[in-house]
Amino acid sequence: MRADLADLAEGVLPLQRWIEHKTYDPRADPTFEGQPTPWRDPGQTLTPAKVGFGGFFAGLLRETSDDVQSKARWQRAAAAPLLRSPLGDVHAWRAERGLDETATFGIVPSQNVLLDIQNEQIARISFYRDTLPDLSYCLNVDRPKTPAAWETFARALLTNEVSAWPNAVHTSSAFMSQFAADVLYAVLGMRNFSAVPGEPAYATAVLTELGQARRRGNVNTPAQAKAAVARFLEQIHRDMQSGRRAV
Amino acid sequence: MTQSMVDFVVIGTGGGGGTLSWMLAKAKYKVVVLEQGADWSLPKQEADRPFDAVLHDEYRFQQQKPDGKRQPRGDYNTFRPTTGMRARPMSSNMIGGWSATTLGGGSNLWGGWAVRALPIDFRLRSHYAKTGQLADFEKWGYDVADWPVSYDEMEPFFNVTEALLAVNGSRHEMNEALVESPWFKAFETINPDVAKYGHWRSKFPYPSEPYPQKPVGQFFYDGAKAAGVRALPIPTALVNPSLHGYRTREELAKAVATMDAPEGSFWRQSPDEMWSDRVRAACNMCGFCEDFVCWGSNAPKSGVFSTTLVELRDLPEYADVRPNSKVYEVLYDDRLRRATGVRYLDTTDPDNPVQREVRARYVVLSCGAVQSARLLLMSGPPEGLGNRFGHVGRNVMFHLFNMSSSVQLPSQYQGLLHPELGNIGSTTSYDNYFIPDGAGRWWKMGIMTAAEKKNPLHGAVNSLQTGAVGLDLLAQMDAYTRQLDLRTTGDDHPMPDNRVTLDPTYVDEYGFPVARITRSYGEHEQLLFRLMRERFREIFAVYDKIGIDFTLSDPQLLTLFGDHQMGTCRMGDDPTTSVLDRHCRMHEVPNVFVVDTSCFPTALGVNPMTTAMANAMRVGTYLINALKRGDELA
Repeated sequence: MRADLADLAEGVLPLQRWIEHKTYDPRADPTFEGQPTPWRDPGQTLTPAKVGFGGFFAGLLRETSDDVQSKARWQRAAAAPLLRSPLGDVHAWRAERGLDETATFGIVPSQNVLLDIQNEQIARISFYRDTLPDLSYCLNVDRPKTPAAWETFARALLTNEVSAWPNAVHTSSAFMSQFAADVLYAVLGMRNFSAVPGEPAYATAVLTELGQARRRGNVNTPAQAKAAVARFLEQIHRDMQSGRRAV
Repeated sequence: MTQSMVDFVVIGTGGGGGTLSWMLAKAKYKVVVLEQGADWSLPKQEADRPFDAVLHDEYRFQQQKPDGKRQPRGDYNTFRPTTGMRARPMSSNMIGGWSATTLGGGSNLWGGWAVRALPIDFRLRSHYAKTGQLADFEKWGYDVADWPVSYDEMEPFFNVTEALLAVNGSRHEMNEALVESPWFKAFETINPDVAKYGHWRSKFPYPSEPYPQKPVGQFFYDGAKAAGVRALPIPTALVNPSLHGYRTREELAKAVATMDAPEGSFWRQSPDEMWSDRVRAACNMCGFCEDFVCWGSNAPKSGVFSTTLVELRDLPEYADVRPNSKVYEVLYDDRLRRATGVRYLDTTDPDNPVQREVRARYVVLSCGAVQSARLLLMSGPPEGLGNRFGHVGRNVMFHLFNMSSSVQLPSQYQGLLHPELGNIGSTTSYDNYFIPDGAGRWWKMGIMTAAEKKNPLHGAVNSLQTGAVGLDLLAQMDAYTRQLDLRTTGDDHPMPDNRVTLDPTYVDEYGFPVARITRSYGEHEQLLFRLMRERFREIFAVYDKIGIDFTLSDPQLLTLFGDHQMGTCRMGDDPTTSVLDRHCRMHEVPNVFVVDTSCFPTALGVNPMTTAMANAMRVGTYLINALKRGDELA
């Protein structure tokens, strides 16, 4: 399943095809001068797996595993919203303040917990335990053969257009929305580690390709800010002179 | 349940509570400080601890639900646009009204824009009476009030606040921006009293030079200049990166010297007595503060968490700070008309909370305007504590954050905006603090500030929610890095029907009614939205040549209102029309004080933190002096 998830993550973010077509190249950006971009070396590629999606995803499942307990707790609170009140006679207290006799615990509609796209509370570990077999079933029926096909498959999952997806608790769209969010968290969240031995730069490759120098432990200086303003103004000046319009 | 007797119990550790607690403990009163959130920042500020890169992750901080950055576990508010409708829980699509639930409160999570209220903000009713607009406001259902204090009374406390917060800025540019603004000049004819509402030209220099300019701020500055609009560096509460540390004691001494404090008063202490010799580290421009906890070592971002709360740790015999303490009742003796303390849940283990009680001579609330009103309504007689006239919770105000615009730059600007450099925003403008309607009248708006798009993960997840995936998603992620915002701190005038009440149905995880916010836009806000459209456009008109894509936010999005929350416990001289007196003491319960932004009669057109802290110092000065004189406060 790990390999399938890696392929699906690539469907969500087809990084290699992206960098082959995009105009911005960090190697030409003074911000990243002297910094390695090994994924742009001849013969190299960039994938979410190399950025460290797999390890991050496994860790995310572990660290959020107690969501199962909190979900159960919120369900108990929803079933008996006034049970945990420390007030001696909470019903009398509510009555004298003109509050309704019955109460509702609204943490789920307030979205103060992890929800799927149908606004149902989920815990990652049980959510994936439920949905990964469905994904596996779909792949057994019709497995994408190319990176482009994986992207098409990811889009179809997101729009509930994979006919093989079982009529299960969670729709394919619910699964894909959560999975894609976790892929984004992995490649942009800066808690991932490069999966390419000896090449730590892969961990922040997506940020670099976006032209973003956000990094854990950043230390920047006023001189850098001044230089950034100068480069920005230079581009504006060039475009104002030439009347260059949007590209 | 444990009991103890202290002089003060302070509920909430934000700008108001955190500041007042320090003053009271410093004056040798025994203070218990209760904060419903955890202590997320102090352990990381010890100078001897190395910078922790693993913790340097705002995404995790924000996404660690259910302990999210603003929502305490199991807590939330409900919202309805008008009275008579059923309120629904506020979801993550509804921004605003949250309480910063961590030690340091809102001063911990704020963006650091440290701007004073202006003299006219304290006299808005008088001003509108002069211009003839007051009748319009009354017809539209507003209750615009003057503050019972003036700018000049507040001014020395603004100076001290700016010293505490190590504010970066240019006083000369600030003074010029105010008195040379189009509205100030117009008022010379329309209402000459405006010039007399207070000192418009402060002589107190900001402690530090302006924070370094950044590309987005420069873009705004140049666009504004081309449009004939004056812009300037926004005063920012961070230790300037060019400094070799910040010595608060020295700067505090300069600010205190501007006070006319009588002999023996709190402010006549020597600098050594007043403040430690701690040196705060300079900001390393890491770019992660935005509206999150600063992860920098030794507190470069300013707030009470990096100033007064740190000093409190030197006063263990007087100050007892207790995080994870969720107060649910102010104890009230109906016969004596006095509060006697508070009850709270110690939620250190939230699954097994422990009931506790603190007995105190004085109770101070500083929970934020929404939660202070909620607590008062949950306390005392059925109508709520100090609420005989039904004013608690009324006139709640939020800044008009949804009145904003975004700019999308063309692809050749990828990698040029550098939002990672330092804090959010660097340039603001006061030219639209009031805006004309073309018929000779000027309407109150606020400051307008350019802001970077700091967080690419937020942008990507938002794109995902529109259904984008694959190369489409990556294209949107690319575009996000070339966006910037122009935000307003738009004033929101007080309407009695906009209010906080107890929700009749919804409860938190411990069975207490959550706060219900009823809020609609009135004619004034609608008018502002219409008038501001052209104002936004003119700023960036010069850039039409380079093909920017300019969008205005949807002003009708009532769900997007500011986190800044004000009103709910109006300060005023008349007990029948206000909740607090000029010293922020409850008219009806004289040993209860409210020192957060609840007391604001109007909402200003600037971020409220500086005013909240300065006001808490003003109240603290009164309290300490009165107690010292032996006045019978109650």
